[in-house]
This record gives sequence, C-alpha cells and structure tokens, in this order.
Amino acid sequence: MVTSHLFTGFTQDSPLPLDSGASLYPVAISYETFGTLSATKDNVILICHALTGNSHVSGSPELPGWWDHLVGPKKAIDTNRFFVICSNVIGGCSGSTGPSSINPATGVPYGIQFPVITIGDMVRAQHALLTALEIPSLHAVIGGSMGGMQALEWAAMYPTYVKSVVAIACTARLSPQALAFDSVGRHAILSDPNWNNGFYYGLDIQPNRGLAIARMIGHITYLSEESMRLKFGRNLQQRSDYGYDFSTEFQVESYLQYQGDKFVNRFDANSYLYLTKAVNYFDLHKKYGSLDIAFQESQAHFLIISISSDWLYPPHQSKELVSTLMKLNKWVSYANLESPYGHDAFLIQNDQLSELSGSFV
Amino acid sequence: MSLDTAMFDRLLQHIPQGARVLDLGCGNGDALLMLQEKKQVLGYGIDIELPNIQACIKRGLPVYHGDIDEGLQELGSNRFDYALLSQTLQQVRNPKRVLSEMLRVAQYGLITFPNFAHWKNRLHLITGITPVTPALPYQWYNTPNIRVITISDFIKMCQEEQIEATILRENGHFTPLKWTDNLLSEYGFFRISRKGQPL
Repeated sequence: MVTSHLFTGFTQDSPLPLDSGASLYPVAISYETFGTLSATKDNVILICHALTGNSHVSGSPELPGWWDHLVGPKKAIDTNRFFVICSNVIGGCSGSTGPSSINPATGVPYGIQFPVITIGDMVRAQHALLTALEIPSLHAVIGGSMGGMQALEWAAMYPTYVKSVVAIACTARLSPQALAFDSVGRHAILSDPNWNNGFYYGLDIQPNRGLAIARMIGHITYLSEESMRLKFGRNLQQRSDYGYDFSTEFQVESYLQYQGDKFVNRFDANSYLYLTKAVNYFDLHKKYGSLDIAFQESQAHFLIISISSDWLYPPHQSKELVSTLMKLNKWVSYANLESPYGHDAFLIQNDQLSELSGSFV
Repeated sequence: MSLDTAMFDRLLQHIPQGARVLDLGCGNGDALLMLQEKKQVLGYGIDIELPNIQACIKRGLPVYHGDIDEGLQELGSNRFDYALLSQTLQQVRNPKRVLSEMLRVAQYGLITFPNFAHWKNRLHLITGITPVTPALPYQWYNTPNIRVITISDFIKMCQEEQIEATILRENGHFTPLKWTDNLLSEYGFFRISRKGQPL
C-alpha cells in the first residue's frame, strides 16, 4: 500500500526555526508511506533521500522508486513488515516547500529570498511531520549520501527518538575537494544569464545550461575512474575517428550531456543551489563542538557503510565516524563494500548492501 | 577434540561473566555468540571478510570491517577486558604490533596458533616435507600462513616485549611452560598481559 500525502505546518506565529537564525512558514512536506503502521507504532522506518531524490523511494513497474531494489514488499526493507515513510526535503522541488514555492510575504516564488537551509533544518521539519503523524519513535532512519547525513543528524538532534541509524556512503562533513566540486556546480548556475538572480519562474527561458553543467560536474563525482573506464573507455559516440572540431565526440561526453539535459526537466536550479549549500554546511564537528558531543546522548544502534571506490565521501570519513561511535561505547557496525561504481554505488542494485541493511533492521 | 571445541572450552573457562570481549578475526561470530549466550559478555568483532561481517550483523553482533594488521586505531585504550586472537597470529604481517595493540585496547589477550614445533611437524621435516597436518592443513603454495611460530619462539618474543605469557591448560589452570609443551602441543593457547599487571 503506497500513499502520497502533503503535510502543511508552521504559521507566522509559530514558524519553523532554521539554523541560520531565520525562520520559515508555512512549510509543506510532500511524503509517501509504504506498508502499515503497527498498533504499537513501533515499526516505522524513515528513509531520507539524497541530493536530488524525492519521496518516491519505492514504486511500481509503471512508476519505479529510486530504491526499489532495497525497499518494498519482501525486499531487504520489507514494507510488509515496516511502515516506511519517505519525505521530500525542504528546499527541494518535489512537493515540499523550496525556492520555487510561493513566498507568503510577496505572493510570488521565493527565488533566492528563500532562506538558506541546513541538513539540521531538514531533519527538524521531518520531526515536525512525524510528530504530526503521532509517531512516538523511529525503529530506524536510513539514508545514503545526503540522506545519510540526515540520518546522522537525526541521531544527534533526537538522541532518544531514533532506535537505529543506517548511514551509507556518507560523511560527518565534506572534504575541501567535495566542497570544491559543489562550488563549481553552483558557479555554473549562477553564471548562466538565464538564472536572472534566481527569478526565472514563469519565464520562457530557464537557466538550463547552468543547471545541466552543474549536474554533469556532480555526475563525475558520483562515478569512479574505474567505472568510467569500464563503461565508456575512450570510445567515440557516433564517429569512427576524431572530427577535429568541438562537437560532442567521446561517449563519456555524450553520457554526461544526456544526464545534464535529462536533469533540467526534473529539477529546479535554485533548489540545486540550496541543497548543495546545505550539504556543504553540514559539519557535525562544528555544529556540536565535536563528533563526540554530537553523538554522546544517542541511544541508537548504528550501521555505517562506505563504498570502496567512493572518492567523494571516501571510506576513511566513515571510519572516523565509526571510531567516534566506538569510543563513545555505542553499538556500531561498519562495512566497506567493494564496488567499482564510486559514490553512486549506494543507489545501484547491490546484494551486499541489501543484506547488510536488511539484517541490521 | 576439534580446535573450535577446545578453544570454546578454554574461553568458557577463562572469560568471566559479563566481560567485554573483542574478537580479532571474529569470522562468522561463533565464538562471540557462544560467549554472549553462556557468559553474557559484551562482544565486539573485527573481520576483514565482508561475508563474515554480514553473518555477524545477521546474528545481532556488532562488528567492524577492517584489517587488524593496520592497527586498531578505531578502538580507544582499555575498551575491553579480553581481546581474542584465534588462529590468526601466523597470518599477520606485523605480529608485534598486533599484540601490542591487543594489550592497549584490552587488559588480557587470549591467543591460539598452530605450534610448528609439534612432534608431527618435526617428523614431516625430518623426511624433508613441509608439514601438512590438521593444524596446518595447507600446501606450501596455498597457505595463508606467512609465519612459522613455535611455542618456544612465542615465549621468547613475549619476554623481549615485556609481555607476560601463560599457557592455558585444558583443566582451566594457567601454568608455566613445561619443556614438553613445545614438543607435544599441536596448538599454543596463551593468555598474555602487560608485565607488572596483576594476573
């Protein structure tokens, strides 16, 4: 049983407080639920999506979910057993309040008047949703990449609410290298003349070029040298030899261009700015003073999973998390999955990932 | 008596109720699970093989996927009462470091390894053949064992490293080394601790 919903909360008198000091109202959260809530409400799993994901974590052949191989009836995260909730993050563009939503103060879309949000703000909004749904505790919170950051933030912000955490291909803070790639992606959008200072909603011309380039850069960071070599080699797309011009020739170029062009049809450029910023600001060391302090109150069991070929959020960053949790005497397990697919491996069918997370929850 | 049974017997005899136990190279978690059920220990496993990690998680045991040869820096000092190292010492690249790490994170180490000086191995060598026995079941070309250890060698190294090493007997007692141990024991079973610590 899959159902889509829209939650709306927070008012001018009681807005959602944000880490930046600003606040937000009203806040709509688009979410889907899968399975049935038990009588004792003890079978709830929250799944947090990554940067450009949405609430459709599990679907049907007609409308596939982004984690179909992991979440669904009789899957590792079995929706016959668990009541799975997945919500679109605030700041996004798949149903929840974000820069493309109407600003109640002006009556037009926020654009870049939307306040900068953080991973903590996303989690605070999710907590409001679960409170409204009268969910007393979470059996588990699971996420990969930015979803993993939310899972970690859940454990830090609501230490007794979360019983277990699965954080996959994740980090407690980005490396400068990862910050750099995101920065270039934002520059691509900001320097697209059609971005128009963020006020392009309703116009004929959209900042598609900038957004597509940002996606192409992002995509490079999600793959690995090995996966690109195996998938594309130096093959040419349509020619048998070089054309000695500047058209798209290599298969890898063509693939990235396709990914970029496809992306602009489903994603909002401003949301991309806001969400990468949220990921960039994510730093549990800074927010709490230290990782130890962030997790010291947490009652959760943790499963931390890294991907061997993930150079965006490399395994050593997961190990640092595990090390901290171990020092705090938390119940923590760690696995480093061997995969050539880079950061993206967490979204690709992977029996090891399914078995680990399935048996953990 | 198989090694596993012998090892489990000794573990049950020596590990106190509720102890904090680290199992280095924990495999599928058999030993930890047994200790958890019979001695209510707080167990933690480390293993390098992902299928073993999966098996442990399935059994509800917390585990770390890593290489003990790279050190145990993820673990704080004195986190455990006992660190177990069963049938692994002969496979590590840096045994001294592994032993010293064990005694950093735990008060005691419990160690087993195949004793290369066992009389059967000596007979093999006299005939000019690399020993292949139940304790050393490999051919020279496919053995994971990269070190040849004898009980006497082990004791000697422990003395050099200021490590107290006591043999674990089947009767549950710790007793000093006898000259026959190196000849008659197929395995070395030891408890180690830092010298100067109460035993």
